Amino acid sequence: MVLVVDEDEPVRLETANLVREGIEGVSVLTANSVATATDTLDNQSVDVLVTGYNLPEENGLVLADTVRDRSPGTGTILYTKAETVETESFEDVVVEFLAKDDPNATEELLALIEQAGPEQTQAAHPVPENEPARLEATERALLASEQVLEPLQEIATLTRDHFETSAGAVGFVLRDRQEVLANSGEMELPTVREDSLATHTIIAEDGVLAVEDTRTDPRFSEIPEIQSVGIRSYLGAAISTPEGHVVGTLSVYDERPREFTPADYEYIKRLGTLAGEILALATGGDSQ
Amino acid sequence: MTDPFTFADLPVDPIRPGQTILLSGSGRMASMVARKLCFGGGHDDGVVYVSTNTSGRHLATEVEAEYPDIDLSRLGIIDATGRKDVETETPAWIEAVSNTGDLTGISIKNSILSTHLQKHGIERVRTCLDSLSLLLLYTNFKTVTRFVHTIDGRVAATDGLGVFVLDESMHDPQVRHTLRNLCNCEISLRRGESGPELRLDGIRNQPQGWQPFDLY
Repeated sequence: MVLVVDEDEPVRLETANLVREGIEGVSVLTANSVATATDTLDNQSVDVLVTGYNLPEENGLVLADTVRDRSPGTGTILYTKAETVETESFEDVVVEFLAKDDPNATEELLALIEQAGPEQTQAAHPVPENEPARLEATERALLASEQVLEPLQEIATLTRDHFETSAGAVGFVLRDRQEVLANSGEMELPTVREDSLATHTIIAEDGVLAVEDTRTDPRFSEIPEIQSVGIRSYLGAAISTPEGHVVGTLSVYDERPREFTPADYEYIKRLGTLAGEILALATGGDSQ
Repeated sequence: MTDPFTFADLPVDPIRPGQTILLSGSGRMASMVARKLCFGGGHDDGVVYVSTNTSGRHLATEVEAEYPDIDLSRLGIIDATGRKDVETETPAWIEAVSNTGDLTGISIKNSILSTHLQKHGIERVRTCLDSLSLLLLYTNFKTVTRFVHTIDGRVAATDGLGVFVLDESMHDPQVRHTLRNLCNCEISLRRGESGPELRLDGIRNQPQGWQPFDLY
Protein backbone atom coordinates (compact mmCIF):
# COMPACT_ATOMS: atom_id res chain seq x y z
CA MET A 1 0.00 0.00 0.00
CA VAL A 2 1.39 3.39 -1.03
CA LEU A 3 0.05 6.70 0.33
CA VAL A 4 0.65 9.75 -1.89
CA VAL A 5 0.34 13.11 -0.13
CA ASP A 6 0.55 16.48 -1.86
CA GLU A 7 -1.39 19.70 -1.34
CA ASP A 8 -1.66 20.29 -5.09
CA GLU A 9 -4.43 18.06 -6.49
CA PRO A 10 -3.16 17.69 -10.10
CA VAL A 11 0.33 16.85 -8.79
CA ARG A 12 -1.10 14.39 -6.28
CA LEU A 13 -3.18 12.58 -8.89
CA GLU A 14 -0.36 12.55 -11.41
CA THR A 15 1.99 10.97 -8.87
CA ALA A 16 -0.63 8.44 -7.81
CA ASN A 17 -1.24 7.43 -11.42
CA LEU A 18 2.46 7.17 -12.04
CA VAL A 19 2.78 4.71 -9.16
CA ARG A 20 -0.32 2.70 -10.19
CA GLU A 21 0.87 2.37 -13.76
CA GLY A 22 4.49 1.71 -12.85
CA ILE A 23 4.12 -0.96 -10.18
CA GLU A 24 1.98 -3.97 -10.91
CA GLY A 25 -0.66 -4.80 -8.31
CA VAL A 26 0.08 -1.86 -6.02
CA SER A 27 -2.72 -0.10 -4.13
CA VAL A 28 -2.47 3.67 -3.92
CA LEU A 29 -4.26 6.06 -1.56
CA THR A 30 -4.07 9.86 -1.65
CA ALA A 31 -4.32 12.69 0.87
CA ASN A 32 -3.82 16.44 0.72
CA SER A 33 -2.59 17.25 4.25
CA VAL A 34 -1.11 15.79 7.42
CA ALA A 35 -4.60 15.61 8.95
CA THR A 36 -6.21 13.70 6.07
CA ALA A 37 -3.16 11.44 5.80
CA THR A 38 -3.34 10.49 9.48
CA ASP A 39 -7.10 9.91 9.13
CA THR A 40 -6.28 7.47 6.33
CA LEU A 41 -3.77 5.71 8.57
CA ASP A 42 -6.46 5.10 11.17
CA ASN A 43 -8.05 2.64 8.78
CA GLN A 44 -5.14 1.36 6.69
CA SER A 45 -1.55 0.30 7.19
CA VAL A 46 0.79 1.82 4.66
CA ASP A 47 4.10 0.39 3.43
CA VAL A 48 5.43 3.50 1.69
CA LEU A 49 4.59 7.20 2.03
CA VAL A 50 5.34 9.48 -0.93
CA THR A 51 4.91 13.07 0.18
CA GLY A 52 5.60 16.61 -0.92
CA TYR A 53 7.55 18.86 1.45
CA ASN A 54 5.25 21.86 1.66
CA LEU A 55 1.91 20.80 3.12
CA PRO A 56 -0.88 22.95 4.58
CA GLU A 57 0.27 24.15 8.04
CA GLU A 58 2.95 21.45 8.28
CA ASN A 59 5.65 19.83 6.17
CA GLY A 60 6.53 16.38 4.85
CA LEU A 61 9.01 15.65 7.64
CA VAL A 62 6.33 16.26 10.28
CA LEU A 63 4.11 13.85 8.39
CA ALA A 64 6.90 11.23 8.14
CA ASP A 65 7.43 11.46 11.89
CA THR A 66 3.69 11.16 12.56
CA VAL A 67 3.32 8.17 10.25
CA ARG A 68 6.25 6.37 11.88
CA ASP A 69 4.71 6.86 15.32
CA ARG A 70 1.76 4.80 14.11
CA SER A 71 3.53 2.48 11.71
CA PRO A 72 7.29 2.37 12.38
CA GLY A 73 8.19 0.33 9.31
CA THR A 74 6.73 2.79 6.82
CA GLY A 75 9.30 4.05 4.32
CA THR A 76 9.07 7.71 3.38
CA ILE A 77 10.08 9.36 0.13
CA LEU A 78 10.08 13.15 0.09
CA TYR A 79 9.16 13.82 -3.54
CA THR A 80 9.28 17.54 -4.06
CA LYS A 81 10.26 20.60 -6.03
CA ALA A 82 11.35 22.31 -2.81
CA GLU A 83 14.95 23.45 -2.93
CA THR A 84 15.33 23.99 0.79
CA VAL A 85 14.39 21.37 3.35
CA GLU A 86 14.80 22.39 6.98
CA THR A 87 16.17 19.32 8.79
CA GLU A 88 17.55 20.69 12.05
CA SER A 89 14.37 19.92 13.99
CA PHE A 90 14.02 16.50 12.34
CA GLU A 91 17.54 15.11 12.55
CA ASP A 92 16.49 11.56 13.40
CA VAL A 93 13.51 11.21 11.04
CA VAL A 94 15.67 10.06 8.07
CA VAL A 95 13.82 9.86 4.77
CA GLU A 96 14.65 9.29 1.14
CA PHE A 97 14.59 12.45 -0.97
CA LEU A 98 13.82 12.72 -4.64
CA ALA A 99 13.74 15.99 -6.56
CA LYS A 100 11.01 16.18 -9.16
CA ASP A 101 13.47 17.74 -11.59
CA ASP A 102 15.77 14.73 -11.34
CA PRO A 103 16.31 13.57 -14.94
CA ASN A 104 15.39 10.02 -13.90
CA ALA A 105 12.75 10.99 -11.33
CA THR A 106 10.03 8.61 -12.53
CA GLU A 107 12.25 5.54 -12.73
CA GLU A 108 13.91 6.34 -9.42
CA LEU A 109 10.61 6.94 -7.64
CA LEU A 110 9.30 3.54 -8.69
CA ALA A 111 12.58 1.81 -7.83
CA LEU A 112 12.72 3.51 -4.41
CA ILE A 113 9.11 2.53 -3.64
CA GLU A 114 9.89 -1.08 -4.52
CA GLN A 115 12.95 -0.99 -2.28
CA ALA A 116 11.27 0.78 0.64
CA GLY A 117 8.21 -1.48 0.70
CA PRO A 118 9.03 -5.19 0.59
CA GLU A 119 12.70 -4.76 1.47
CA GLN A 120 11.97 -2.33 4.32
CA THR A 121 14.91 -0.15 3.38
CA GLN A 122 14.06 2.48 5.98
CA ALA A 123 13.57 0.13 8.91
CA ALA A 124 15.20 1.12 12.19
CA HIS A 125 16.04 -2.50 12.90
CA PRO A 126 18.11 -5.13 11.10
CA VAL A 127 16.19 -6.98 8.39
CA PRO A 128 16.99 -10.66 7.68
CA GLU A 129 17.67 -11.84 4.16
CA ASN A 130 14.59 -12.89 2.24
CA GLU A 131 12.37 -10.96 4.65
CA PRO A 132 9.15 -11.12 2.58
CA ALA A 133 9.22 -14.95 2.66
CA ARG A 134 10.12 -14.93 6.36
CA LEU A 135 7.16 -12.65 7.10
CA GLU A 136 4.78 -14.94 5.24
CA ALA A 137 6.09 -17.92 7.23
CA THR A 138 5.71 -15.95 10.46
CA GLU A 139 2.08 -15.04 9.73
CA ARG A 140 1.33 -18.72 9.09
CA ALA A 141 3.14 -19.82 12.23
CA LEU A 142 1.37 -17.22 14.35
CA LEU A 143 -1.99 -18.40 13.08
CA ALA A 144 -1.16 -22.04 13.79
CA SER A 145 0.35 -21.29 17.20
CA GLU A 146 -3.11 -21.01 18.78
CA GLN A 147 -3.26 -24.81 18.65
CA VAL A 148 -0.07 -25.18 20.70
CA LEU A 149 -0.35 -22.22 23.01
CA GLU A 150 -0.20 -24.32 26.16
CA PRO A 151 3.06 -26.16 25.43
CA LEU A 152 4.67 -22.92 24.23
CA GLN A 153 3.60 -21.23 27.46
CA GLU A 154 5.05 -24.17 29.38
CA ILE A 155 8.39 -23.88 27.59
CA ALA A 156 8.49 -20.15 28.37
CA THR A 157 7.83 -20.87 32.05
CA LEU A 158 10.40 -23.70 32.24
CA THR A 159 13.00 -21.48 30.60
CA ARG A 160 12.32 -18.64 33.01
CA ASP A 161 12.54 -21.02 35.98
CA HIS A 162 15.74 -22.61 34.74
CA PHE A 163 17.50 -19.26 34.37
CA GLU A 164 15.75 -17.77 37.43
CA THR A 165 14.85 -14.62 35.52
CA SER A 166 11.99 -12.13 35.78
CA ALA A 167 10.26 -13.29 32.59
CA GLY A 168 10.34 -15.96 29.92
CA ALA A 169 8.51 -15.50 26.65
CA VAL A 170 7.78 -16.83 23.20
CA GLY A 171 7.32 -14.09 20.63
CA PHE A 172 6.83 -13.76 16.89
CA VAL A 173 8.63 -11.05 14.91
CA LEU A 174 6.21 -9.47 12.45
CA ARG A 175 6.79 -6.59 10.04
CA ASP A 176 6.33 -3.78 12.54
CA ARG A 177 5.75 -5.49 15.86
CA GLN A 178 6.63 -8.32 18.18
CA GLU A 179 3.64 -10.46 19.06
CA VAL A 180 4.34 -11.87 22.52
CA LEU A 181 2.40 -15.09 22.65
CA ALA A 182 3.48 -16.58 25.92
CA ASN A 183 4.85 -14.37 28.69
CA SER A 184 5.51 -16.09 31.99
CA GLY A 185 6.23 -13.00 34.04
CA GLU A 186 4.92 -9.63 35.12
CA MET A 187 7.30 -7.67 32.91
CA GLU A 188 5.69 -5.70 30.09
CA LEU A 189 7.75 -6.57 27.02
CA PRO A 190 8.33 -4.28 24.01
CA THR A 191 5.77 -4.83 21.28
CA VAL A 192 7.17 -2.47 18.63
CA ARG A 193 9.62 -4.47 16.54
CA GLU A 194 12.36 -1.84 16.37
CA ASP A 195 12.27 -1.56 20.18
CA SER A 196 12.48 -5.30 20.76
CA LEU A 197 15.47 -7.46 21.56
CA ALA A 198 13.87 -10.25 19.54
CA THR A 199 14.43 -8.43 16.26
CA HIS A 200 18.18 -8.64 16.93
CA THR A 201 17.90 -12.27 18.02
CA ILE A 202 16.50 -13.40 14.68
CA ILE A 203 19.70 -12.25 12.94
CA ALA A 204 22.10 -13.31 15.72
CA GLU A 205 25.13 -15.46 14.99
CA ASP A 206 24.32 -19.11 15.77
CA GLY A 207 20.73 -18.12 16.55
CA VAL A 208 21.39 -16.92 20.09
CA LEU A 209 21.62 -13.37 21.44
CA ALA A 210 22.94 -12.58 24.91
CA VAL A 211 22.91 -9.08 26.38
CA GLU A 212 24.59 -8.84 29.75
CA ASP A 213 23.56 -5.25 30.48
CA THR A 214 21.22 -3.32 28.21
CA ARG A 215 22.40 -0.04 29.75
CA THR A 216 25.88 -0.45 28.27
CA ASP A 217 24.83 -1.88 24.90
CA PRO A 218 24.37 0.96 22.37
CA ARG A 219 21.69 -1.03 20.54
CA PHE A 220 19.40 -0.96 23.58
CA SER A 221 20.63 1.69 26.01
CA GLU A 222 18.48 4.47 24.56
CA ILE A 223 15.26 2.54 24.01
CA PRO A 224 12.73 3.69 26.67
CA GLU A 225 10.54 0.60 26.15
CA ILE A 226 13.47 -1.53 27.36
CA GLN A 227 14.90 0.75 30.03
CA SER A 228 11.63 1.91 31.61
CA VAL A 229 10.40 -1.61 32.35
CA GLY A 230 13.75 -2.53 33.85
CA ILE A 231 15.05 -5.04 31.32
CA ARG A 232 18.74 -5.22 32.20
CA SER A 233 19.81 -8.58 30.80
CA TYR A 234 18.52 -10.85 28.07
CA LEU A 235 19.09 -14.25 26.51
CA GLY A 236 17.14 -15.32 23.45
CA ALA A 237 17.15 -18.12 20.89
CA ALA A 238 15.68 -18.21 17.41
CA ILE A 239 12.58 -20.30 16.67
CA SER A 240 12.66 -21.58 13.10
CA THR A 241 10.36 -23.40 10.72
CA PRO A 242 11.49 -26.68 9.10
CA GLU A 243 12.22 -24.60 5.98
CA GLY A 244 14.67 -22.46 7.93
CA HIS A 245 12.68 -19.24 8.33
CA VAL A 246 13.25 -17.65 11.72
CA VAL A 247 9.74 -16.71 12.81
CA GLY A 248 10.25 -15.83 16.45
CA THR A 249 12.21 -16.21 19.63
CA LEU A 250 12.27 -17.93 22.98
CA SER A 251 13.64 -15.39 25.43
CA VAL A 252 14.34 -14.69 29.07
CA TYR A 253 14.50 -11.19 30.54
CA ASP A 254 15.90 -10.14 33.88
CA GLU A 255 15.95 -7.01 35.99
CA ARG A 256 19.59 -7.56 36.96
CA PRO A 257 22.69 -7.44 34.77
CA ARG A 258 24.15 -10.92 34.46
CA GLU A 259 26.59 -13.01 32.48
CA PHE A 260 25.64 -16.02 30.40
CA THR A 261 27.83 -19.05 29.77
CA PRO A 262 28.24 -21.18 26.63
CA ALA A 263 26.16 -23.83 28.45
CA ASP A 264 23.38 -21.24 28.83
CA TYR A 265 23.54 -20.51 25.09
CA GLU A 266 23.30 -24.20 24.31
CA TYR A 267 20.41 -24.77 26.70
CA ILE A 268 18.18 -22.00 25.40
CA LYS A 269 19.06 -22.96 21.85
CA ARG A 270 17.81 -26.50 22.48
CA LEU A 271 14.59 -25.19 23.97
CA GLY A 272 14.18 -22.82 21.03
CA THR A 273 14.56 -25.79 18.68
CA LEU A 274 11.96 -27.67 20.72
CA ALA A 275 9.54 -24.73 20.46
CA GLY A 276 10.06 -24.76 16.69
CA GLU A 277 9.30 -28.48 16.54
CA ILE A 278 6.09 -28.02 18.53
CA LEU A 279 5.09 -25.19 16.22
CA ALA A 280 5.79 -27.40 13.21
CA LEU A 281 3.31 -29.94 14.56
CA ALA A 282 0.65 -27.25 14.53
CA THR A 283 1.49 -26.21 10.97
CA GLY A 284 1.55 -29.82 9.82
CA GLY A 285 5.35 -29.71 9.58
CA ASP A 286 5.10 -27.56 6.53
CA SER A 287 4.90 -23.83 6.55
CA GLN A 288 4.28 -23.56 2.83
CA MET B 1 22.42 -3.25 -14.94
CA THR B 2 25.73 -1.48 -15.50
CA ASP B 3 29.20 -3.05 -15.43
CA PRO B 4 30.67 -4.24 -12.13
CA PHE B 5 32.59 -1.71 -10.01
CA THR B 6 36.36 -2.14 -10.24
CA PHE B 7 39.07 -1.28 -7.71
CA ALA B 8 42.66 -0.50 -8.64
CA ASP B 9 45.40 -0.97 -6.04
CA LEU B 10 43.33 -3.30 -3.85
CA PRO B 11 43.00 -7.11 -3.91
CA VAL B 12 39.24 -6.86 -4.50
CA ASP B 13 37.69 -8.33 -7.62
CA PRO B 14 34.89 -6.42 -9.42
CA ILE B 15 31.66 -6.08 -7.43
CA ARG B 16 28.28 -5.96 -9.13
CA PRO B 17 26.25 -2.74 -8.83
CA GLY B 18 23.75 -2.20 -6.03
CA GLN B 19 25.91 -3.56 -3.21
CA THR B 20 26.95 -2.06 0.12
CA ILE B 21 30.17 -2.80 2.00
CA LEU B 22 30.89 -2.50 5.71
CA LEU B 23 34.57 -1.51 5.90
CA SER B 24 35.88 -2.26 9.36
CA GLY B 25 39.35 -1.47 10.63
CA SER B 26 41.27 1.05 12.67
CA GLY B 27 40.26 4.65 11.97
CA ARG B 28 43.06 6.05 9.76
CA MET B 29 43.66 2.87 7.75
CA ALA B 30 39.92 2.37 7.18
CA SER B 31 39.54 5.93 5.86
CA MET B 32 42.48 5.45 3.48
CA VAL B 33 41.03 2.20 2.12
CA ALA B 34 37.59 3.83 1.79
CA ARG B 35 39.16 6.44 -0.46
CA LYS B 36 40.86 3.73 -2.52
CA LEU B 37 37.49 2.00 -2.96
CA CYS B 38 35.92 5.27 -4.12
CA PHE B 39 38.66 6.92 -6.16
CA GLY B 40 40.87 4.04 -7.28
CA GLY B 41 39.41 2.67 -10.50
CA GLY B 42 36.20 3.60 -12.26
CA HIS B 43 37.12 7.09 -13.35
CA ASP B 44 33.75 7.43 -15.08
CA ASP B 45 31.91 6.96 -11.78
CA GLY B 46 30.81 9.78 -9.52
CA VAL B 47 31.51 9.80 -5.79
CA VAL B 48 29.52 11.20 -2.89
CA TYR B 49 31.72 11.19 0.20
CA VAL B 50 30.18 11.91 3.60
CA SER B 51 32.89 12.99 6.00
CA THR B 52 32.34 13.16 9.75
CA ASN B 53 35.93 13.97 10.70
CA THR B 54 37.56 15.93 7.86
CA SER B 55 36.00 19.19 6.72
CA GLY B 56 34.70 19.55 3.18
CA ARG B 57 37.45 21.99 2.22
CA HIS B 58 40.24 19.78 3.59
CA LEU B 59 38.81 16.63 2.05
CA ALA B 60 38.66 18.21 -1.41
CA THR B 61 42.28 19.34 -1.02
CA GLU B 62 43.42 15.91 0.17
CA VAL B 63 41.64 14.03 -2.63
CA GLU B 64 43.14 16.39 -5.22
CA ALA B 65 46.63 15.73 -3.82
CA GLU B 66 46.22 11.95 -3.38
CA TYR B 67 44.42 11.28 -6.66
CA PRO B 68 45.69 13.88 -9.18
CA ASP B 69 44.03 12.04 -12.10
CA ILE B 70 40.53 12.40 -10.62
CA ASP B 71 38.14 14.87 -12.21
CA LEU B 72 36.94 16.65 -9.09
CA SER B 73 33.72 17.77 -10.75
CA ARG B 74 32.69 14.12 -10.33
CA LEU B 75 33.05 14.42 -6.56
CA GLY B 76 30.33 15.46 -4.13
CA ILE B 77 31.25 15.99 -0.49
CA ILE B 78 28.93 16.24 2.49
CA ASP B 79 30.69 17.95 5.34
CA ALA B 80 29.11 16.35 8.41
CA THR B 81 31.74 17.63 10.85
CA GLY B 82 29.50 20.47 11.98
CA ARG B 83 32.27 22.96 11.12
CA LYS B 84 30.75 23.95 7.76
CA ASP B 85 34.26 24.56 6.44
CA VAL B 86 33.28 24.37 2.78
CA GLU B 87 34.50 27.62 1.18
CA THR B 88 37.00 26.62 -1.49
CA GLU B 89 37.54 27.04 -5.18
CA THR B 90 37.59 23.32 -5.88
CA PRO B 91 35.43 22.01 -8.73
CA ALA B 92 34.04 19.43 -6.28
CA TRP B 93 30.46 19.97 -5.11
CA ILE B 94 30.34 20.50 -1.37
CA GLU B 95 27.32 20.56 0.89
CA ALA B 96 27.23 20.76 4.68
CA VAL B 97 24.86 19.78 7.47
CA SER B 98 24.64 21.67 10.74
CA ASN B 99 25.99 18.83 12.86
CA THR B 100 27.10 15.20 12.71
CA GLY B 101 23.85 13.93 14.20
CA ASP B 102 21.66 15.40 11.44
CA LEU B 103 21.13 12.13 9.61
CA THR B 104 18.01 13.43 7.88
CA GLY B 105 20.11 16.23 6.42
CA ILE B 106 22.90 13.87 5.36
CA SER B 107 20.41 11.53 3.68
CA ILE B 108 18.77 14.39 1.77
CA LYS B 109 22.10 15.99 0.77
CA ASN B 110 23.25 12.59 -0.49
CA SER B 111 20.22 12.38 -2.76
CA ILE B 112 20.69 15.98 -3.93
CA LEU B 113 24.37 15.46 -4.79
CA SER B 114 23.68 12.14 -6.52
CA THR B 115 21.03 13.82 -8.66
CA HIS B 116 23.35 16.73 -9.34
CA LEU B 117 26.06 14.37 -10.61
CA GLN B 118 23.53 12.55 -12.78
CA LYS B 119 22.48 15.84 -14.33
CA HIS B 120 26.09 16.30 -15.34
CA GLY B 121 26.16 13.05 -17.23
CA ILE B 122 27.45 10.74 -14.51
CA GLU B 123 25.52 7.50 -14.64
CA ARG B 124 26.32 5.96 -11.30
CA VAL B 125 27.73 6.92 -7.94
CA ARG B 126 29.97 5.40 -5.28
CA THR B 127 28.71 6.61 -1.90
CA CYS B 128 30.93 6.53 1.18
CA LEU B 129 30.05 7.27 4.80
CA ASP B 130 33.20 7.86 6.84
CA SER B 131 32.40 6.94 9.55
CA LEU B 132 29.52 5.11 11.19
CA SER B 133 31.46 5.15 14.45
CA LEU B 134 31.26 8.94 14.63
CA LEU B 135 27.53 8.88 13.81
CA LEU B 136 26.99 6.47 16.69
CA LEU B 137 28.58 8.98 19.06
CA TYR B 138 26.09 11.65 18.03
CA THR B 139 22.84 9.75 17.65
CA ASN B 140 21.18 6.52 18.69
CA PHE B 141 21.59 3.08 17.15
CA LYS B 142 18.05 2.88 15.76
CA THR B 143 18.46 6.12 13.81
CA VAL B 144 21.82 4.99 12.44
CA THR B 145 20.22 1.70 11.41
CA ARG B 146 17.43 3.53 9.58
CA PHE B 147 20.01 5.78 7.93
CA VAL B 148 22.16 2.86 6.70
CA HIS B 149 19.05 1.12 5.36
CA THR B 150 18.02 4.30 3.55
CA ILE B 151 21.40 4.76 1.87
CA ASP B 152 21.39 1.04 1.04
CA GLY B 153 17.97 1.42 -0.60
CA ARG B 154 19.22 4.25 -2.81
CA VAL B 155 22.35 2.30 -3.74
CA ALA B 156 20.21 -0.69 -4.73
CA ALA B 157 17.67 1.44 -6.63
CA THR B 158 20.32 3.33 -8.61
CA ASP B 159 22.86 0.54 -9.23
CA GLY B 160 25.43 2.34 -7.12
CA LEU B 161 28.03 1.21 -4.60
CA GLY B 162 27.94 1.97 -0.87
CA VAL B 163 30.84 1.95 1.60
CA PHE B 164 30.28 2.37 5.35
CA VAL B 165 33.42 2.84 7.44
CA LEU B 166 33.48 1.42 10.97
CA ASP B 167 36.29 1.86 13.49
CA GLU B 168 36.03 -1.62 14.95
CA SER B 169 38.11 -0.75 18.01
CA MET B 170 35.22 1.43 19.22
CA HIS B 171 32.54 -1.27 19.17
CA ASP B 172 31.52 -4.54 20.75
CA PRO B 173 31.64 -7.52 18.30
CA GLN B 174 27.85 -7.93 18.53
CA VAL B 175 27.32 -4.31 17.49
CA ARG B 176 29.63 -4.89 14.57
CA HIS B 177 27.70 -8.05 13.68
CA THR B 178 24.43 -6.10 13.64
CA LEU B 179 25.92 -3.40 11.38
CA ARG B 180 27.39 -6.11 9.15
CA ASN B 181 23.88 -7.49 8.75
CA LEU B 182 22.74 -4.16 7.27
CA CYS B 183 25.27 -4.43 4.41
CA ASN B 184 25.78 -6.95 1.62
CA CYS B 185 29.38 -7.73 2.53
CA GLU B 186 32.26 -6.76 4.79
CA ILE B 187 35.87 -5.83 4.19
CA SER B 188 37.95 -6.35 7.34
CA LEU B 189 41.35 -4.72 7.74
CA ARG B 190 44.33 -5.63 9.89
CA ARG B 191 48.06 -5.08 10.12
CA GLY B 192 49.74 -8.36 9.11
CA GLU B 193 53.37 -9.32 9.68
CA SER B 194 54.49 -7.70 6.44
CA GLY B 195 51.97 -4.88 6.16
CA PRO B 196 48.28 -4.15 5.84
CA GLU B 197 45.90 -6.94 4.84
CA LEU B 198 42.22 -7.11 3.97
CA ARG B 199 39.61 -9.85 3.81
CA LEU B 200 36.30 -9.68 1.98
CA ASP B 201 33.38 -11.77 3.26
CA GLY B 202 29.86 -12.09 1.96
CA ILE B 203 30.38 -12.06 -1.81
CA ARG B 204 31.28 -15.04 -3.94
CA ASN B 205 34.18 -15.21 -6.39
CA GLN B 206 36.47 -12.96 -4.40
CA PRO B 207 40.03 -13.69 -3.21
CA GLN B 208 39.77 -15.93 -0.14
CA GLY B 209 41.38 -15.16 3.21
CA TRP B 210 43.67 -12.28 4.15
CA GLN B 211 45.20 -10.45 1.20
CA PRO B 212 48.17 -8.06 1.48
CA PHE B 213 47.94 -4.63 -0.12
CA ASP B 214 49.83 -1.34 -0.25
CA LEU B 215 48.33 1.45 1.77
CA TYR B 216 50.33 4.23 0.12
